[in-house]
Amino acid sequence: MKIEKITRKGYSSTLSKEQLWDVYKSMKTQRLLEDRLLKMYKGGQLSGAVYPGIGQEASMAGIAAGMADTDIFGGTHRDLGVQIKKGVTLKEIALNFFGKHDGPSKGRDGNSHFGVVDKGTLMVVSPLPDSAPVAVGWALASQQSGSGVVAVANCGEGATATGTWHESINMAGVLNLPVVFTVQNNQFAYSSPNETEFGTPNVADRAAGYGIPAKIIDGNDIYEVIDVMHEACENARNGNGPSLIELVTFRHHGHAGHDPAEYVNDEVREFWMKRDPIARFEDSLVEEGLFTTEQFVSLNEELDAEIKETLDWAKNQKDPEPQNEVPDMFAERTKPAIQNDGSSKETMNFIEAITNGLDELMEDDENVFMMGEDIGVFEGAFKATKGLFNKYGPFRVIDTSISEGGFTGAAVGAALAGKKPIVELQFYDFVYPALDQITTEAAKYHWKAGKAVPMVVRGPTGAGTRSGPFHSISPESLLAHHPGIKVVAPSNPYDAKGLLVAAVNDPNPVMYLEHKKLYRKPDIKMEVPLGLYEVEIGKGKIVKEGSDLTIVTWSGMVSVATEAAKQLESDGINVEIVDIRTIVPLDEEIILTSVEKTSNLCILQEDVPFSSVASEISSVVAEKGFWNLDNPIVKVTPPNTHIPFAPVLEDAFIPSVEKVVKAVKELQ
Amino acid sequence: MSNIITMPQLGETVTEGTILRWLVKVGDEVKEDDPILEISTDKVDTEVPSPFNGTVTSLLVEEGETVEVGASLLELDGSAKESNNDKSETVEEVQETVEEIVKEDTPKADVLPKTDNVRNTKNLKLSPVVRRLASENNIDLNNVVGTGQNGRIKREDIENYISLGNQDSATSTKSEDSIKKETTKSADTNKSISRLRKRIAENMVLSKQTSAHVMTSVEVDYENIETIRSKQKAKFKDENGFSLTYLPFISLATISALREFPTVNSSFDLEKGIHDVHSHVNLGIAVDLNQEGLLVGTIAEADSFNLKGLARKISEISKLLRDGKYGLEDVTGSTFTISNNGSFNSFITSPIINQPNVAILSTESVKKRPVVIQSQDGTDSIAIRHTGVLSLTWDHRVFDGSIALLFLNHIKDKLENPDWSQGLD
Ligand SMILES: Cc1ncc(C[n+]2csc(CCOP(=O)(O)OP(=O)(O)O)c2C)c(N)n1
Ligand SMILES: [Mg+2]
Repeated sequence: MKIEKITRKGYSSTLSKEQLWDVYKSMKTQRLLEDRLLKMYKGGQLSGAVYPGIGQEASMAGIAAGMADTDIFGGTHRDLGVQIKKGVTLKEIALNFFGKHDGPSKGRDGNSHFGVVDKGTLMVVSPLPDSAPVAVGWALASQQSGSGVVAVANCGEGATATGTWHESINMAGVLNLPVVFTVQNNQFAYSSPNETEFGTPNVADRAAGYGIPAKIIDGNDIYEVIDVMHEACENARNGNGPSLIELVTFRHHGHAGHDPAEYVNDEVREFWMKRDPIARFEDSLVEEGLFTTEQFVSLNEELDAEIKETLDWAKNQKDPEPQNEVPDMFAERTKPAIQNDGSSKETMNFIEAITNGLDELMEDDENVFMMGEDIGVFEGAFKATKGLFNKYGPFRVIDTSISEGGFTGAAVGAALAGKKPIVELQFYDFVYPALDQITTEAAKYHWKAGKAVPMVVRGPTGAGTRSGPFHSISPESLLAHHPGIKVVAPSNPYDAKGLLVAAVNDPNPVMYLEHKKLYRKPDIKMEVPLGLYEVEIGKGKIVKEGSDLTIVTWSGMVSVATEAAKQLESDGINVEIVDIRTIVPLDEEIILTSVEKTSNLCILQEDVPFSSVASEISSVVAEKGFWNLDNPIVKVTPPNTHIPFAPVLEDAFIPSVEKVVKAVKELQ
Repeated sequence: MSNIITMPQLGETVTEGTILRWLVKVGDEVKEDDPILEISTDKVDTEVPSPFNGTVTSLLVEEGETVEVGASLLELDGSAKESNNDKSETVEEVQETVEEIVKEDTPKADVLPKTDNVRNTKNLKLSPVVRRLASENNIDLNNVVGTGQNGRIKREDIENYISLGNQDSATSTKSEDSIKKETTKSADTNKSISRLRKRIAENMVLSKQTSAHVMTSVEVDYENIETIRSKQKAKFKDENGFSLTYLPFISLATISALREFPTVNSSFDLEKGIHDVHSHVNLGIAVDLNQEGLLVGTIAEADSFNLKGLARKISEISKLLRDGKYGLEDVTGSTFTISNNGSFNSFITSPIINQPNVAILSTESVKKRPVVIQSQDGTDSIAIRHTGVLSLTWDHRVFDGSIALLFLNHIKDKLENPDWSQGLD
């Protein structure tokens, strides 16, 4: 079989013999390892899955070889070759495949779904290509701090059809970020050929749409990959912005271990087998007189033995322990709580307290920055960022494109790179497109990759402003259902600032909910301390003491509860109001203690009822406070519907004082 | 060491596969990566390569068989059985640890002690907190008045009840009150049994099971008593604030008889072999609690009182019991009991002995009746006299009919031939 020749031209021609051997060794390691894993899988010795990248070794090793050691790589299931060249060891890989305690994902995800952030590879997750926005965020952090780090966002050609990819590459283009987008076009996305994935002849044709340069290269020519990759990285490093590289290549095996890839026809296969990247590399190395075939053979034997040995070793390593699962959900806060003697104060409304908090946080720590739509010169749809753009400039108060998934994912990357991002959602209703990043990346990073993600996603929530079904949601239950994120929902200016400061200082992703009806509500104006202070996350507050019945509520409903309590007082019913302030983690103690005192519980929420926070509180009290109950628990919530626009409908939707009073009076 | 080759999972959703064809047989040498069998799953038909070198020692499934992912297919270099067992054991072990962890993590529910008084005796809803407080404070919920809807007992009801110092293991003063309210309220046919009624019922049955009850009665002419009574009535009421009834007369006569026949003033414990003859008379007076129950009030050392003193004592104890203001000593320690059935117009009664007494006297109604009288000259005439029956139920285990009748006739004599006016001065 005649082999297509390759030759060194650009950066690759500057590589030393040792460097070339390293590249070769890494490609060979990938091939032998994946070959072995595939056989073990087929032989029933490996559970889970294997996604062999055999045939794409030049693309993978070349991408890594073109990057600087400090650059960061965000890839997919198919990228073991990149991870190997970035320095991830056989042991780490083997431990992950066997789901072991000491593996990179501690048994929480299998096979190639892991990253070793300290070696420059981002956590690999299944949803494609979710590490792309994270890589963009790392690049953003790099741009802000001038660290010179370039991020590579890599995926297969199939994954480029996702909104996630478009948002990422678009944002990188708009913000001129140091990112290189690489797409290994291995001809198939699972079973689907290019024609079913995109309408342009090439993936790279799309670069024009983002205003960035692109190249299509032979992904099986190790030299070309290294050359082009290196050039793209250096361009990005030098402030010339992102670019797109399409690496045309081919996977020898099916999508995964179980897939015989019968959808690949013989001519295609034959064409590509002639261009096997390792054979071409070997051929050129021999021709250049750098190495001999014997050396390849003996490396082959060495590696084969090492791989088998490592896999045998890994099999018998320590298994993960189920009792660590819950504690590992959140990173522990080590920074002490901020103290404030409260000596200087100012009367503020709710949104002023938030703006004041944002300002002081940004002034206090230059790593704190903001991202969101129209938050810069325009100062936000609700003016929460008033004055901040002028004070901190466009690199710290960043106007983003309409890309909730993109910039929320970018916050994850920036947080991993040491920043403290605060994302503003123009309306919390638009958290839906961001949910994938929040739950897949932000929520799972600490648990699966052992890295804290300190970030805040804040924005207006709640109904009552005649804004209809898409500007009115109360998303707390939706968010609280996902493990790994914290959710806070203040009800007054003091708590708003204190919780914001606590959220930014928390090492975990915190969803910060601002009820828009509170923003300028005159009767909740109060004195707010100047200077940073914190309201502890996870601690509720008794806003009114009482003896006959407890109303548990939060956010916009606290004032409804307060008014209802006044009316009930005249009927001789003495109500205690608990403002939980934080949804996750829930202050069960304050609720249970109050119910112990009053024996009657009403839960008041603006969110819809089914499978909600109210349901959860009800369940907690039924389980842990049962013997203190004197009446069935009552929930006052809207009906299980969407939020309507027409004033009569919206008014009927939102729990009113009358509904609360009625529900309480119906208790026996 | 043997190696077992298992059914591979060829695809995330694959749960089982069919063995199409064995490519090796027992005794064959196989090398790593040699194809050993063909399998078919719902995803794919494929050859399975051997992960090990070795000699085939057994084929564990037949061609055509469908087995689950993970099932043992083939054994190299060893005895299939052994390894099979090894494997299943580890699986069990893992399961056990998981179960243990789950157990530990599940918060233990507060388990309440089950006590009788926490039963829902009123057919009303009892909330968890009411049940708990009742249990913790030993409260009989029958005694607690509910102020909630439909008489439901609320937390504050039981808390008020407790704050009044109530604890139902000791005698309660509140209980009878509550029972009153309770009965007036529920005219239901299936009314639940009150605590007092339960106690009475148990005592009655116990007494019937303990003593050999015999009833004996005599007829008494109260004409002399009636003469004194009608003379003194108005004055007595003015001076003492209560009416002069027959009962003090009968009581005084009975005390006299008890002195004469101390056996009747005794306790008798057959099991222990002790017959305790009491030196004093602690007179028990059965008091009807307005038809809500019956209690026996005790007049301690009744034998130290004169007629007037005894009359006052009887009046006091009745009031005390009806008002529910008595102490333990007021309802315990009697040595003999009188049940005043005459006040409800009885003719003759056979009362049940108040344990541990050995006899009980029932006073029956006193009425004007025609009586044949023999005058001193021996002539008979019919006269209208106040007469009534006195019945004595006595324990035949302790004494016999003779004592009973001598005792009764002693009373009769005392009542018919009195010099009663002394005691009234
Ligand atoms: C959002 C999302 N949808 C579907 C899948 C399932 N899936 C996993 S890999 C894959 C094909 C990916 O093709 P491509 O992007 O070309 O990468 P390749 O596997 O060829 O390297 C699909 C559909 C996924 N992981 N994520
Ligand atoms: Mg592909």
